[in-house]
Amino acid sequence: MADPNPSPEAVPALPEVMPEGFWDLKLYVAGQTPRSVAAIANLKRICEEHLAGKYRVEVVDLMSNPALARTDQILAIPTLVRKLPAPARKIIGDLSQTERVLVGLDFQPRN
Amino acid sequence: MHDSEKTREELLLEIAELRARLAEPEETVHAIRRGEVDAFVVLEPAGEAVYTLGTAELLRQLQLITDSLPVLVAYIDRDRLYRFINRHYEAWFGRPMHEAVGQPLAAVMGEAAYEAVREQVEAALAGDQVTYERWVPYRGAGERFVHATYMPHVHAGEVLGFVSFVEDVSERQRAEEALRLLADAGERLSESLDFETTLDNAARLAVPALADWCMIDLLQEGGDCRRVVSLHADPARQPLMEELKRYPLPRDSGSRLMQVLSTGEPVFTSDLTEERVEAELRSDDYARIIRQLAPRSSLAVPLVARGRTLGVWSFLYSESGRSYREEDLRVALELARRVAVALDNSRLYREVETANRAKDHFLATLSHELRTPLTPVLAIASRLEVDGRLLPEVREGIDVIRRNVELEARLIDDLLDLTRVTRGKLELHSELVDVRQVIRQALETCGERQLLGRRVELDLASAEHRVWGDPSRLTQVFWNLLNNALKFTPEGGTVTVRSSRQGPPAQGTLVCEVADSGIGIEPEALTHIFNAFDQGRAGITRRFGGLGLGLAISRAIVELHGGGLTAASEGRDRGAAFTVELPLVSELPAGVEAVGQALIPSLLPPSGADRSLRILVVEDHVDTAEAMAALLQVLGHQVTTAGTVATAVAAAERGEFDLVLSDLGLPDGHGHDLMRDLSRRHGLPGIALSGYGMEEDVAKSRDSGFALHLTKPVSLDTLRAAIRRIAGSAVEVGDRS
Repeated sequence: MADPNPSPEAVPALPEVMPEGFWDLKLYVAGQTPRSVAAIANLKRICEEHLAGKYRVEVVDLMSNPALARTDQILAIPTLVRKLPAPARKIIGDLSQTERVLVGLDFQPRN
Repeated sequence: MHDSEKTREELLLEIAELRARLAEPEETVHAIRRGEVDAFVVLEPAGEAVYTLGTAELLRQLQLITDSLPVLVAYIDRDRLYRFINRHYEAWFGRPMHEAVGQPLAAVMGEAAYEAVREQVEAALAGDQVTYERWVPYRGAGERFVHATYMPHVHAGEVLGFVSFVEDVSERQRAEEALRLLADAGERLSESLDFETTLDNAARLAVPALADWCMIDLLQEGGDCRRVVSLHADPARQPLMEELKRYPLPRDSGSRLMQVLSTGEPVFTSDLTEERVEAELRSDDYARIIRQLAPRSSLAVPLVARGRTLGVWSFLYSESGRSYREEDLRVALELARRVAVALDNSRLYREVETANRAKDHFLATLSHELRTPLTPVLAIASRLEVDGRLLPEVREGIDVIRRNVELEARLIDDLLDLTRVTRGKLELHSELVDVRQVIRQALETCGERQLLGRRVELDLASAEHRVWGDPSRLTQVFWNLLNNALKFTPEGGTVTVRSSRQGPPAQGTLVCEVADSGIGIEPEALTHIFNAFDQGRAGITRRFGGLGLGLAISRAIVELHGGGLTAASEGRDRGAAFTVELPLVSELPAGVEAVGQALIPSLLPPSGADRSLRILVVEDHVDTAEAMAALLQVLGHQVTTAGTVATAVAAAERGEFDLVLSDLGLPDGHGHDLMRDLSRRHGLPGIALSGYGMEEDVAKSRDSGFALHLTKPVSLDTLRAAIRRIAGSAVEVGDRS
């Protein structure tokens, strides 16, 4: 029924040469549920603060295409999937606790 | 085994991966506990499905948003059940929302309302987006004018339901309807000054726009009321309304309508309960009618004009289910104010009309009185003029007398005509007329004497001369123009009458010009000569002499024929030209058959010898009777006179007569009755002689059996022509028998 592949336009192209320390992230949301909306806002804030210029985020709305949950075996929404740096990691929840998110993203502050 | 070949690093990574996987359920539980997730992916037989937590929160937001919209919002499923409604439904239908959700449309809005929108509901469920505006009689919310849109909810090619947006625009609609109603009122009420028409217009304005039925009760002299209007929107109910007319307001009643009359204040009962109606029923029969009409809401406003309460106007709603509101009261009051003023105006107009009729009557009587003494003078003068035994100079003197008496009579005629013209009461007895004959006749009427050394040239070159008109009135016009032209043309001068045709074949115009070589008209006078009431200017009066009403009357006559009369002159001593324009007849007006050239009596050419007739002259004015007798004897007739109806009847019994010539106002009866009698008993033809020359007088004479009606004083020629005409037709009748 639903198209299992994400539409290509929704995904920004990856740089040709992957630089050192690049975060490729995928955020699964369900329409405009309050936690989904909160997760989008939190992720945007965290990335701008800590990963500026070194990340890419793809937001997947499972409300409009539930079959996409299969790719990453998503159960609870919102869920953030770190595709890069490998290995893949899931962070479940609305990303309201910044410290936990940074740990989950495997981000080491420079100093 | 492959595992043993894995490096330590690979194993560590794998362990971390497994750990992460094992931690996932735990983290999920934590996230749920912390309230950080609010949706889950569930595997259903058909595939993945997303279920959200906090649906109540979402619903709360949806409710908040839709409640704050100024429209009714609802989701209706394909079973026509409400699945979602916003809070406005509570206010409209007076029941809690949870009672409405899950209910069928008809159960919430009422059967009548559902019927009104059923077509649109079906269209939406068929997948069409529908927008409509209409009055809907909601149960509980009352009748409202709504602007509504239904958006179908289509999923996978199937209509699951529709979203409905309904906006109450009753206020706007009522304001528009009120404006339209008042605009209509302005137009319709200005149409007529007639009392009955105004009442009728008023009722039709109110029903059905402002009432299912309405009544107007007017106060009569003495304080009683008369129900003058009783109208229902439904023709089938009108017989009941007619019955209601038998029940005007009783003077001492304490009813609401009487209250309106006594206080001059409106009474407004938005919701008329049955008990309330019952309490005011006066008699069994009246109760029967009212119960059938079943009023549900009423409004009664006073009709007040110029500070006077004329009556009361009641508006009622029954079957439409509508009820009166404050805004309706304002509209009704404004409408009543306009109707009252219109009614009062028609009353004033009626008073003026009555006064005018009195004036007409006075003028008719006056003209009769003025004509009566002229009749014997004219008769005697006419007789003496042809008396060969008299000296020529005596005959000349008599000629002066006769001409001036005729002029006097003409002035009296003009005066009467003028009152008709100013009141728009000049009537035409139209037939197909050849204008050439009219002109020749007018010329003949002017007579030799007026020509006296002046020449009249006829240049009637128009290819067509047929017009639809009144031959005697048109003759009067050309006589006036010829008479004027001759009067102002010096001896030896020439008057020219030319005719030509103008315009396209289908709607041509006959142009007749009467031009003289006389003293001319100054430019500043040209615009005034047709105005009867502007003759006070010394120059014009001097020029045209006397009352000079002829031109004003002539122009009115020509205009009544759909034509025009204009004057032109190049100035003093340069002559003048009067131009008559008349529409030519190529085809006869619908429903009219072509008739032969019907000539009025005076137009008959005097030819052939007079046949001697036995004539009965009935005239109470002794001088007139004798003079007429003498005149008729000169013409070779045998004359018997009678002064009363009785003597005339007796004379007719005794002797044989060919013709009766009778005055109308006789001492012991009326000439019309006499004529009926003589016509029935002896088959006598008759000619009426009267000082009254109004159209209605002539018509009455015709009805009573007179073949002709002549207005006094009668000239010799007219009388002679009339008698010949009667004698001629009598011979014809005789020949046939």
